[in-house]
Amino acid sequence: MIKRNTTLLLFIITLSLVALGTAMVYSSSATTAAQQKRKLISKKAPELLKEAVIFHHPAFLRKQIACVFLAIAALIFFYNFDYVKLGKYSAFFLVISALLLVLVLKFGVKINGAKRWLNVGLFNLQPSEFAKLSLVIFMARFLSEHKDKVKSFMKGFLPVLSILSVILVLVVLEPDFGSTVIIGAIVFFIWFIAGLRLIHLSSLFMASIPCAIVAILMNPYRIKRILAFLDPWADPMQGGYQMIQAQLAVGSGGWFGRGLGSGFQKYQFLSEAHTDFIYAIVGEELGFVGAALLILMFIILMWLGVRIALNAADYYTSLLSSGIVIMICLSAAVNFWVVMGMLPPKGLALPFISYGGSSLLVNMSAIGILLNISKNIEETLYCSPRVRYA
Amino acid sequence: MTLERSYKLRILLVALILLFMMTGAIARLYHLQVIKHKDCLARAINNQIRKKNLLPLRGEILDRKENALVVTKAACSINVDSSLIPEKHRRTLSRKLAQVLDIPQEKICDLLKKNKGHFPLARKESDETMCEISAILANLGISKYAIYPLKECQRIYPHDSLLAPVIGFTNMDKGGDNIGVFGLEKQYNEWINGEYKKTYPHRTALWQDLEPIEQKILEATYGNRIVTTIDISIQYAIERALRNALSKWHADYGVAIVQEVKTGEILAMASLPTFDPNKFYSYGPEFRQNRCLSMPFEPGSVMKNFTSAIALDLGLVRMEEMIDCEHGRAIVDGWRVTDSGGHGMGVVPFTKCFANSSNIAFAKVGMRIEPTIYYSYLNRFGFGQKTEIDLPEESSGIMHPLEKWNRHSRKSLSYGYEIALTPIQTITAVSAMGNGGKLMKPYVVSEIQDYKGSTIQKFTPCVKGQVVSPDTAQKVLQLMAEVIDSGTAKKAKIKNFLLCAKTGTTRKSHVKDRTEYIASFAAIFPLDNPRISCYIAIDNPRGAYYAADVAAPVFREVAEQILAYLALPPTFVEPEPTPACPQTASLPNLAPELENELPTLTIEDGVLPDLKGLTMKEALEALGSAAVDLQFIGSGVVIEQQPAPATPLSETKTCMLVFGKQEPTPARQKE
Repeated sequence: MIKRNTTLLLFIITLSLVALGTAMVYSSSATTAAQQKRKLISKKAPELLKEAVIFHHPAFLRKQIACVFLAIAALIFFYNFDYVKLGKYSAFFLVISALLLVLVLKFGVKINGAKRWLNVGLFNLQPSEFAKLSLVIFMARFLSEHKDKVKSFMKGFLPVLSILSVILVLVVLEPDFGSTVIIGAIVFFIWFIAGLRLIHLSSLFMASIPCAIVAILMNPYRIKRILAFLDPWADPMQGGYQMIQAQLAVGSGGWFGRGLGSGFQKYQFLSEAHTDFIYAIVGEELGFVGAALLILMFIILMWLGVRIALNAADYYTSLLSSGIVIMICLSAAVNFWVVMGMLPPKGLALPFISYGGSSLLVNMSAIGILLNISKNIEETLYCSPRVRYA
Repeated sequence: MTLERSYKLRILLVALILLFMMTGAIARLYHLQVIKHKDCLARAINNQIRKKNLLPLRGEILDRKENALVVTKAACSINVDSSLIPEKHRRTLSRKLAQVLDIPQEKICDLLKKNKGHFPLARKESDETMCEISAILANLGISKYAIYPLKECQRIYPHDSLLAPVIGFTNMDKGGDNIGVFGLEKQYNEWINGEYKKTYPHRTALWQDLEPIEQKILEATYGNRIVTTIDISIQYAIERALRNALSKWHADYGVAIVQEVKTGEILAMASLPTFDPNKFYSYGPEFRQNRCLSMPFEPGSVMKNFTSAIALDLGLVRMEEMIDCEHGRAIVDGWRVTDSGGHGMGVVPFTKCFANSSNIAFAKVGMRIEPTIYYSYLNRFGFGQKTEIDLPEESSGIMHPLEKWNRHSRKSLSYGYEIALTPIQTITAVSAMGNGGKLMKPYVVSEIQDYKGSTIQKFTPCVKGQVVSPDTAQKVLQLMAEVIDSGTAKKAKIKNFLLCAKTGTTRKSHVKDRTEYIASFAAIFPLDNPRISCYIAIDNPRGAYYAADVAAPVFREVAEQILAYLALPPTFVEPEPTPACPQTASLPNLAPELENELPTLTIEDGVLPDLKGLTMKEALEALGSAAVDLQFIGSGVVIEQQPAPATPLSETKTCMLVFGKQEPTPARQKE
């Protein structure tokens, strides 16, 4: 049975992850920040460049710390916000997310050839992250409310599928293939838990394969990525470069790593070292001990979440908490696999660790909701039993 | 309401899938970090480290005041990868390159055609040239990697040909000018050349170094600096004077050395005509040598310095001894000897024989010296041996071993034939006369410093031996002073200073008809406290050949500048120098004139008398009853007094008298 200290333990795990993440963001981003700074100087005043060669700059760290405070505020807000009410507004959230996804297609900031971000001053907002959480809340609400219709094709399957397709199409248009796959996967898992018919699930899975193939064939770079994944050494300087560098980074860590901040792969050998591939730097600098401990923390987080989901009082709460656990842990697991060359590379952040405000904000809000649920379960189990539903 | 069992199972199933992914990740982590760690680490390090070749930086050569005589500048070699140059551009490219580089177009075109792959096109070019070439490449649309620079260093001689035979020059190795071939560059090559080093700094993917080069490695690439004893101002003065004399007399070669008497330091060393070390390859080998070290010749009358020193030291001749010069023509021991210049003298004192450079007198004096003793003295002077100066390619001169001497050898030797001395041997032996008879080892480098300027090794003066007694040395100086005053070197007289000198006019014995001469001049000054010695030789002057006409004016010009430059105190305040030996009959009697010029003051006039030139006893007598406290400093005769003469006695309480060495003037002696 659930223990009294679940809430506290979950909170501590989350904060530790965030703390470690902030440190790793500085370690891995300082070089990129310095590189950008140098570029800026070389444009404005090239003569200054020779005198002060800078290799570390805290520009990304500053932003990340601001985001951490914002995310903690969000966590506290959702910890106190009634999650039942949240479910009632879920359709509204979903519509807003969809609108943001439309907006990003029009006004998005283009980074590395993809419009995935909206510039909102402090950081670049990534609507697909918000869509992820909105979709999780919406699914929990919709599937628990129509629990008896889940197995029906017309009334249960089709409405969810149509809403899901809209979101996925919008995300894939950005283009953000990685997010599309991960959002699809999260929804599948929630749906599966809610009791979707296996025939529907498997036919959907079969149907998604040709879609994926079409999506892959539409963009030649995706083919290259998959080819590079299959044999990174075929083209070590182009397609296979990032994978090889990531694996070298992890592999050079050994048992105890090269020490926090003492890695060398982050000096532009590994691109995106502070975002999607931050785990490679964790492996290089903290070694097997540190990197495995990080995975263990995610396992503990998952176990705590699963216990909350199993002990939840109703289907909505249970689906919501399992959705959140899937959202966080699936992203993390896929990220680990991608970094270590077990899955083809895709743009996917490691929750709590990677640099990026949207991801941190969404994941911390999700943890806030989970903490809220956990707190309620503990109160109903150990304290004054309250009747929540009239 | 509780959850269905199947629902819970589904949650657990999903959790199991996630757990599988997580543990899979840990397994992969173990695989990469533990099993494949060594392989990955080696690959990563290989990737993260760059090999960086460090060029040596050849050390500077400085003069005694640490002015740079040679510096090293960064330059680059221009290299071509001809595989990147398309055939159609070859002609245009070589035409444009010919405009930038100093190479004919056809040659460039040929090189491009012949060489496949990488080859150097030009060396020691500036970065600006490389920029122009890059622009040409961009214009023609050729890859920028087709012509690329490689760093190297270039030796720059800012003073061009000044001091070139001493400094020398360098050849190129792979990193630029760094092989000393001649002069100091060769002698001290090991000290100044620096080392080729490699470092392996961590790099970024953009090839920036993450760590500064290790200080120890960096320091090893820097060569040391050498500080020479050369004074560039004196060097400049002497080279200019010598060059003017060479062109005035259309002479072949000229050498000049200025040496510090007490230490053996070389202050200046010139050998003309010379070469420009910046473009040494355009000069023939006859220009690229230091004749001060490599050209031994018969010293002629300059040798008389040493003959007199030996004879005086052995007590075989006295200063005032009367010697018959037989009016310029004589047969001494069956050997015809003539005095040059046609100034046949009769029976005159030895000092006069020296001053007017009588060969007859010296042949006679030479005969008095035992050959074995003569030979051992000449050995002690360092003749026939290298002086061990710290410069390469020194000749040891020619001195016949004793068993080769014939019955006339002593006579020939006594006035400077049958022996060949290099200029450096001559000046070193002359300097011994100014240094109380102690022969010093000449040297050019006083100190070796590391690149920051802190001392690594200091070279101190080195005494090679006491050749003659200090008393003899002093006597020789007096003889030499006479040469300036009344002898053959009157043209070298300088107002207010007592100098010592000896002229030498060598008739070259190996030349047909014996019509070629070497005019030489050795000098030490000032007489009272010898500091500087100077030797000048001009080979084959045309129009005049006597040293007195050819070499003495050069010395005079240089000596005036050196005296002013070193701010040496004048021997006299009187306008006229006075003869050292008043007994000499031919000396003009200056006494009346002096007395007219300087009316003697006595204490009877109520003022302080002029006490200069008086001994301590005489000074006391002259002051007599005057109530003045006296302070004495030093010994000898008064050379300075404070307050000045003619100060009223009533204002004088104490009088300070400084005594020093100075020949008393005849006028004062009369008092």
